[in-house]
Amino acid sequence: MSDEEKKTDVAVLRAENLTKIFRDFWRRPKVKAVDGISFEIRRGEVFGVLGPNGSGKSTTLKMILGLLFPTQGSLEVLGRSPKDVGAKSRIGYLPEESYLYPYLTAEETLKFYGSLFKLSDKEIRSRTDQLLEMIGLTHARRRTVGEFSKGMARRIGLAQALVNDPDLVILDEPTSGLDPLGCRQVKDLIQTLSDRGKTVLLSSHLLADVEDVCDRIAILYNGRIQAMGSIRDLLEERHRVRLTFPELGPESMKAVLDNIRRIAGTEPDLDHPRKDLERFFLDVVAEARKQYEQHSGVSGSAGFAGFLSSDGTREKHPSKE
Amino acid sequence: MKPVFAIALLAIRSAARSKVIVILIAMLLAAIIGLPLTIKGDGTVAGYVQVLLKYTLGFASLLLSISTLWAGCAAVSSEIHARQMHLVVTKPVHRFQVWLGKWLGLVLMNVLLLSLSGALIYGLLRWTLRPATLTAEESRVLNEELLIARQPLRPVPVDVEEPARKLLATRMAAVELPENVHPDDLLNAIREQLLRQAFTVPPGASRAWTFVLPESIRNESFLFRFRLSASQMGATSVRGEWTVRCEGVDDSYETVMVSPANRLQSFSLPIEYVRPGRVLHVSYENLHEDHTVIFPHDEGLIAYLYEGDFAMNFIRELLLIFAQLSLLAAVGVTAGTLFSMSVAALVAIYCLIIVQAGAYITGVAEQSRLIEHTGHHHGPVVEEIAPAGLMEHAVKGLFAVMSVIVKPLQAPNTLEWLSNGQLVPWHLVGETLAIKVIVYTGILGLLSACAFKKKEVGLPQ
Repeated sequence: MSDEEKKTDVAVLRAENLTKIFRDFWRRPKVKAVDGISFEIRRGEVFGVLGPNGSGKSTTLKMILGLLFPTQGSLEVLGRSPKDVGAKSRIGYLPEESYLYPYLTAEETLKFYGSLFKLSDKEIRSRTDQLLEMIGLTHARRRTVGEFSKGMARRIGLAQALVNDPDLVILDEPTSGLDPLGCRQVKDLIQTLSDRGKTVLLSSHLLADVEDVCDRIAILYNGRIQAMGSIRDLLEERHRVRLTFPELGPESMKAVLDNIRRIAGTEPDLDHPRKDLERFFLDVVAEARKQYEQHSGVSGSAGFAGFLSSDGTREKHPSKE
Repeated sequence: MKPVFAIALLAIRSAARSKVIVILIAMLLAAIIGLPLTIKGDGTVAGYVQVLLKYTLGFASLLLSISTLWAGCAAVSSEIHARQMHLVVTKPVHRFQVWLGKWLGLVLMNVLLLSLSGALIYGLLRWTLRPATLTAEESRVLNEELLIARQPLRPVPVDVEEPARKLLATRMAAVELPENVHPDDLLNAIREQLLRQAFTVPPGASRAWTFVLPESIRNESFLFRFRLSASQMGATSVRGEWTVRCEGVDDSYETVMVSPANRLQSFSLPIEYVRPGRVLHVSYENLHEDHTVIFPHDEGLIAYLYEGDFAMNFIRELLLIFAQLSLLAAVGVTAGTLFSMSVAALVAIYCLIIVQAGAYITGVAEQSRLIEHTGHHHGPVVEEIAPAGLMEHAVKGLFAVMSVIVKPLQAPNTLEWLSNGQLVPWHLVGETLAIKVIVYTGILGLLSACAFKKKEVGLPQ
């Protein structure tokens, strides 16, 4: 299936005039956290919600998840009300903080969340193993989550969000607390999910991450959508062009620049393209890993869990290629 | 049901891996082993059994009740506060299943802890009262009176109704009643007076009781328990002769006893002196020359028939405690579902107090109902009762509602029964389990599920 076929016009999530007013003990309106927003997310899309603190991002996500109820407006998730328990079997959710049970081991955590879905014991065991391998915590499967670093707990949180192979994945600050390797892996995972026709809704403060993975974004401020559209439409400077070519000799370069000055009538910006810091870091770590078989913390991931991969088999981690 | 069991298992793991459970087990062990050492009984075997069963099992039950209530309140409210609940309710789990899972987890933990406490108390009882440490008489008392299950059989009640009404009519004909005395109050006083007379035995006189025996009787001796008081104050003993004669049996059983006043006494009747389905006549002759003997008319003399062994009686008592703990778990989880931890704890304690004060609440509700129906209350009337105001109606209504709720939860003191060798009947266990574990827990579960469904779990804390 091509990307275009997977990304259809079928609305997975539809919000119309969505409003949330928090009230005090006496039911008097206190704060209007979300103020009449409307948007639609289509199947296979990666949709980012951005905004400063208190802009209504988390409140919007919580209404989508049925953790909060809208004061006004309508909300439809996978064709049903967010209160409908049936729809939740197709949703995966990673909260802002990893609200996990500190006394459960990594393995018990995934098995617990797996058992809340209609999965057989065999399937739960298999998915637990695959997910632990995917997040690189197989060696720590019997350690309690309370002993984990923030990054390790975040990975377990991400794994529990995927245990049901959801159609809609809601990720609140998914890369928060993760090292660059983990961030890259999460972004690759989001891409893989999107390729499989899954819909991803994410909220993040890390604008570079959003830019990397999102098809469309909405920027919230004071409970309202201030801007919404595809990354390309919103960020592209259509009146400017960047040209990249191998370094030339001084005379050839001068000739090129003179031509540009003459034709465009303006002085062009000239610099050397830089390597992406994330890419550079990943290369260094990949090189270092070759030298150490064992190390504490998160071990190298073996790719994506089989049940999450597009053809059902284990995929190789793109960052390791 | 899979999510329910998963949530229950989670609750058990949460308890098993917290320090609270270690402290709770330590406290239970300390109570079970320490209490019999610190509380001194009266030096008798009966006293020791009372301490071990009534106080130790009672204390273990109290400890488990408080911890159950607390854990129940925390089960949902603390997870909402810590936002762990966000990850549970965003899964395909009905909120009723969350409630049920938490309740089930607590109940299973209680089964474990109660079984542990019960086994320890039973083992301790059997070990400390092993035959080698007891005299022959102590062994007899232990086996025939205490560590046994006997069904109480009360005598045919003394009918004072007709003589009381006749006496009332005579008195009312002779003297005009004061305005503030109602004839019903006077009738009650006469009834009391006649009953006291019926159970008073002057020196040299006798008093008789009649028992109708059931159609089937186990082939074990009868036990009679009685309590008497003497007309002289202080530590007095009274000599008297008991005679027991059963219809259809030629011989009568006779025994002379010197009985200390105001203490529970007993004597055994060999089984050959009784016949099933017949009438048993028991009489007491006061052999003392000076003292008049008075028997309390409610527990003056009660026969106890053998029904079974102590072990099953003990298990039945544990089942009654289990029913109580299950209900408390439901109250706690419901309170924790509806409110924050601190408010839930307050509400749960308030509910517990209301249930404990059930007899008082029912009494007040019934008395106010009686006043409404008859226009007067029992007891001395000081002044005319003023018409009830709105506030009074509201309070009466509140008491009536609370009475309806708590009345089915009132239970006899079965720990007292167990330690006295009295049968804790299966039907009581069945009724209690049905009322507390099925009906009340079910109602609380449904109420909780409805409220939880409407609760916004994601509200800022």
